Amino acid sequence: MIVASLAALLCFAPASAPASAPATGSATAPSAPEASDGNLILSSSSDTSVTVRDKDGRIAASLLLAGGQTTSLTLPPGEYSVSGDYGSPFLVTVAERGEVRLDMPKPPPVQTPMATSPARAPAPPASEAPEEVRTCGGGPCRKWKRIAAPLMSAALPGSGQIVNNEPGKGIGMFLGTLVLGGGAAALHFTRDPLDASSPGLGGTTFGSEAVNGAGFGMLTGGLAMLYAAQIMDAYASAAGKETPSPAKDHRVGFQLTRMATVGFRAGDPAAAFYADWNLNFMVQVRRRLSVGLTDIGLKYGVGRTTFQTGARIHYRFYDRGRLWIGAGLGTILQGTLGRQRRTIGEIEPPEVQTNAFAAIPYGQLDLRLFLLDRWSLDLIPRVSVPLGTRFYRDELALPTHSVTFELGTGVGVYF
Amino acid sequence: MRIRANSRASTPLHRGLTAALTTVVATIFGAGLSLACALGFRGATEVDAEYSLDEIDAVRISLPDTPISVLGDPVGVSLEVEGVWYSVGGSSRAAADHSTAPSLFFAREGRFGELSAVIPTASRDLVDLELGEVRIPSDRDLELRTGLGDVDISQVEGNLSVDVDAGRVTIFGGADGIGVRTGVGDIEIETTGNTTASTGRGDVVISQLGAGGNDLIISTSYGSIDAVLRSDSNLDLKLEASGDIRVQTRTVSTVTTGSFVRTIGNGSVTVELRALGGDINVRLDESL
Repeated sequence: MIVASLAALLCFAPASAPASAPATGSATAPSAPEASDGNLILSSSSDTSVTVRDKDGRIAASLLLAGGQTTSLTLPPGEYSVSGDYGSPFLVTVAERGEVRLDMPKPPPVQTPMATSPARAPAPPASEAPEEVRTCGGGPCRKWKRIAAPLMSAALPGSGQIVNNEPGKGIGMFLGTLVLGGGAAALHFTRDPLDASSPGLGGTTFGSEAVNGAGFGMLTGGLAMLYAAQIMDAYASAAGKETPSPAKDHRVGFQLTRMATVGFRAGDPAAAFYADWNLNFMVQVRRRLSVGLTDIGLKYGVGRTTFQTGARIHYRFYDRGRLWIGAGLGTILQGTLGRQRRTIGEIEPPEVQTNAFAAIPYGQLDLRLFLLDRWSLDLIPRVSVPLGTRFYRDELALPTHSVTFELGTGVGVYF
Repeated sequence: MRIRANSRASTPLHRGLTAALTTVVATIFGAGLSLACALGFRGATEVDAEYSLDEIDAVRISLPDTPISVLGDPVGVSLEVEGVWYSVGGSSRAAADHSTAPSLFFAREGRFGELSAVIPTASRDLVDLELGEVRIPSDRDLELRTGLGDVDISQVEGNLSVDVDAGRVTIFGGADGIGVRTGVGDIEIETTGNTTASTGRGDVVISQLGAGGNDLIISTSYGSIDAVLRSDSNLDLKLEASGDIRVQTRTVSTVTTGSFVRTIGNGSVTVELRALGGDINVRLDESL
């Protein structure tokens, strides 16, 4: 078959054609036609090179087709891929003594005339004609992959990349998720709950508990970022989007963020991992300048419920390529409704304040990395000083005037 | 004609800027990771209180997470408590203020008394109580509740009830009966009273004192049980374990697995042991 293909190439080379015109002519299969062969009739309204490959990818015929002309190829029955200078390849099936007609695509209209010379570049030799087959990830573009790949990555990290014919990347994503998740789970579940039950520790366990909390925070933060990134990457690959164009002129942006720190506690355990999950809603009022309602969250503790929200002004001072850097100033407002435990008897316990309020001003840096036009991964170092007790989930709180360095991780979407 | 240049190609300036930005981002990321912390001060205030138990038969101690050690006083007439309130604050003064915000409150209803803590909401998660020794008259009933902390009770012969989420429980006494539940933690009991004890994860060591004859109903979801009996007459043995079961008394001697049921004499003394994640070992006190 290879010999036959080479023969076809030689056979259809424009050896006798005039130099001023592209070569044309009718073509036949290199071997003597058999009674069972079919015909592939090619026509084109513009000059184009045509390559015909069999189902094994070997070249069955290659020719130059002049505009407005028609040529016929006699081919053994089977499936063939026909590619021209423009558009995607066609898949045709030639039946026994059958006839298939194919009109080659026209060239796309030229949008910006960069060259003013009337001279037309000569067509490349038939044997070097490039095939413009658009690929998404490591395989052909398919619309269904745009939905399936990110969904599969959400269900099983890395599987969307495998759907996109990027097995190496997929396995890497899966292993990365496994390592980060396994590490976080190991830190969480291997901790002895009785570590802090002994009397007389007096906060001496601070060091080990702070390291434990920091490790847990880094692993879970990295895990969340990797998980979001691989879903976005699965979509980007499926859509054939290698370089995103971040939506600089968006009107609104939403962010889901986890602000985290390691802080001290009274008693034992002497240190804890403090995490504040919140929602942010920002409006871009002028180019690069956004304001909005931020840090929205609800936190339940023992005998209390805390609602928080806040306001922030944010300026984006760098936005080249896929990276944005900005800075923001804001304040979180926390209101807490507490419940005092009931006691027995008729004598009332001493009156204490059951509700609380705190304002937490802060300043932050804001790094956003875009993997898609409207989706970003966010990294947010922040410094804050609570004015009043700042409550977290469970039995965690930071005291008033406690300078707090936090690291936020999250996902943003822009419209 | 105006031709718009597309300067996406990497120029030295562009490359330098990219490298500098990468360095800045990496530095901020690293600094953020290493500096993600809260700064502040610690405070402490001692607490020392005494409450009369005149006309009080039973006392409940219901406090925030703290280890509790209770000592029965045969001649005492009051509940004596000492300990320390630890706190944190953004300044040393704020820390001190938080440590003085809570108070202990003793309420009475009939012949029942309850010791609890009253803490303002703003300070509740910023303070921690660590009790020293609690003294109580030996003949009073005692009920203890706490979330996290070891419980140690000695020489209290009234009825004892202990409920802990996580903590080891050690009891010497409880002649009028014992009820213990701990979510996580070992249990060790030496008593003449009927005993019901359970732990979610931990070993249990239970010893009858005196003449024996007190019921033992013990379970652990993940751990072993070691029971030392003072008498093996009139036993109603019901043993269930995922591991080995060993019984070595004068009247019963066996090594088996799964479950073992045996009635000895009139079966008036119930010994019901369940170790779903460990072994059971029943033996007679060697000093007999």
